[in-house]
Amino acid sequence: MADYKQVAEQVLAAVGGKENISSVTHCMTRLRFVLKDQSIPEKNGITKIKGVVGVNIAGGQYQVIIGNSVGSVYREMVALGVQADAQGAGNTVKQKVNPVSAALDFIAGCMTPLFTSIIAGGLIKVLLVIFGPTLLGWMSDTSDTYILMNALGDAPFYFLPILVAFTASKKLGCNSYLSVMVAAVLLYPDVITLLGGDAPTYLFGVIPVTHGSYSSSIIPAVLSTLLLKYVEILIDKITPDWSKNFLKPLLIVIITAPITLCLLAPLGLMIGNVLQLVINAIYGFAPWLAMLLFAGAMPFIVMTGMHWAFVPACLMALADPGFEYMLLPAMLCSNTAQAGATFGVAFRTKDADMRQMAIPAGISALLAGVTEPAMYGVTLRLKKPMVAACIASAIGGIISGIVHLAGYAFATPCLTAIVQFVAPDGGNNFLFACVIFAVVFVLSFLLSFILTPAREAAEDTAETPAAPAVSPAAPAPALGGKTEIEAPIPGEVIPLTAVKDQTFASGVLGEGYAIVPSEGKVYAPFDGVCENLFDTLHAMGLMSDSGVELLIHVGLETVGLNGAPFTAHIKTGDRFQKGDLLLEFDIDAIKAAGCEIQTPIIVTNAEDVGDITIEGNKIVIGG
Amino acid sequence: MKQFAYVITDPVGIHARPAGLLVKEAKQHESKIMLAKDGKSADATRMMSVMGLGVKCGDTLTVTVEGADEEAAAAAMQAFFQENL
Repeated sequence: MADYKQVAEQVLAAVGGKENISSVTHCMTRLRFVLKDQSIPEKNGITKIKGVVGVNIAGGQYQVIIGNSVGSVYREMVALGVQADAQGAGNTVKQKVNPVSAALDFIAGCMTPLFTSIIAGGLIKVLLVIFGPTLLGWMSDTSDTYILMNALGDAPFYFLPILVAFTASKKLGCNSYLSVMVAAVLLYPDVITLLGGDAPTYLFGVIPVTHGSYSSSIIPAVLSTLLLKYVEILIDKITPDWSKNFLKPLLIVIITAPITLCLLAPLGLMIGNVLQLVINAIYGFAPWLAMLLFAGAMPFIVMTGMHWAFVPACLMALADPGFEYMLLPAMLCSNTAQAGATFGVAFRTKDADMRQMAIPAGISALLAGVTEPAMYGVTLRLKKPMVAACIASAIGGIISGIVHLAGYAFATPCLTAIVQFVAPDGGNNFLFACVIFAVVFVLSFLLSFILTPAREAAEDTAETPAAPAVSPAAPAPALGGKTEIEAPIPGEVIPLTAVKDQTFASGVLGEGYAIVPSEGKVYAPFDGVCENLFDTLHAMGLMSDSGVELLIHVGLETVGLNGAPFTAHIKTGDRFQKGDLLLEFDIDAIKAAGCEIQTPIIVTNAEDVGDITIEGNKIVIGG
Repeated sequence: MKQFAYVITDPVGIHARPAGLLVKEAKQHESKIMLAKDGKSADATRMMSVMGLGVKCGDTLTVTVEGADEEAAAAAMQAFFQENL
């Protein structure tokens, strides 16, 4: 049993103490910090802490991957005085985030805290189905108990706009009480009657209010909270201090609520409908194909956090028509496949450390549907088990698509939650789910067992005994700790040892390779910043957004040319995007000056980012 | 803490190659070694940071060594500069 308090203390110290934390939340496996200064955490230090699986930086969050015990560590951390959901001034994140990851992060931030109530509600509904008239028949669906318990199960779904308004306001840092107040209007009984009636509805006698039903909706409340945030800022600016107590809240809701009712809520419904239409269209085209791709790619979708984008649509589908046939079945296949593949490794490997990690990781995926330990700790590290899992998951997806497997309640799909596939009207759905579960599990287990060489698995782990799954610097949710850097210059790749300069050839400067350029152009191999362009333009130091430092040294002894054959398109401190032209150079002029054209490309901080290997014209870091 | 100043005599200053050698040398010591020039400072174990100083011939570099083995580290760094830069 790990000492959670100790883990919490160590992690807290490593991320720079309470003072450096703007806020901390947790999901199933990770502590998600928003730090004031992301440069403070000691890159390798955190991953060395016993109880920490890895570190990941995404969407402006500093994520420390703990595993299933994250809740306990989080509680200890709060007990240490770290303010959860800290709000207010000064919590601006230094790192700029791209809009897609910001949006995903926002959706995840709005939905994760709700999962406790949504899963509880979902399972209550499953129990009612089991005890109800269709299956066991212990309870009539008109009995008082059934109705009351059904209300308990239904409440988190029906009042979803209110819950979402609450979490969204926390996430956006605006007033939660006002945000909930505005969202609650959408569910007020008289409003429901009014907007559900036949006669057109007008606000102030002239503005038409679109009719619609907002129970179980998500996007309208998200939009109203977004609006409220900006209205709050505006009102705060224009109201005099003496009036803030009464005038500010009044003005905020009186502006936000009508705009929400007339514009944002109908718009939100429309977006939701379009989302569902798109998903239905993809599924309707060829269910087995859609599910093959979706289930097969699910591990990577989960790693990038993209699955969050499907959660709102999934919840909407569960509300109406009452079942969901994409996300839940695909997650069932994917989670089961990870479990199977991980157990396959556990049985195959001769390496005790790997087995010790694989068994709990497999159990976690199997019984809790939490796959991060399996993915980052086992399948991705050994690669082949991941291939096995993807194949098995894709095959499970094909079967799900053919039999139209549908989930009826929201829970993270896994063995213990498989009752979520029990259909209220009976039928074979649950049987199909069990068959798919068994097929995927056995298949991924066998494939992984066959594909994983016992010896290689042992070697891999021997090299990196406690290797962090994701190094803090690796970008990489998408690659899981493995970063590939493509050649920045077109030309022939030669090993560093072939470079005619002892300093480069000996690897003193770092590891990498050299290019004999066929064209005098240096293109950015990643998104990042130019740390340093020499005055003589012959070399530059680049820093990727994921923390990889790359030195590109055009030619040998070219420092003596004083920049003549070079044309720079950036300067020190500039940001660039992958593929940008950074530097042009005249190959013939360099040769004419008596210099060698071999161009070393070197990672200068390998000790921070991971082992370097060369694959073709790519520098591979970590993995 | 040990500190010494050094005037760079290498005609091209601290460019990539000497920076690499410098970093390699600095990493061998436990002490924290910082370089400073014109108010900018750099961790001597970080390649980019050293190159970022843009040290040229004739520049004066202030080297600060602090830690358990600072005596030996400072002496070694001084020797390194005289030999290479």
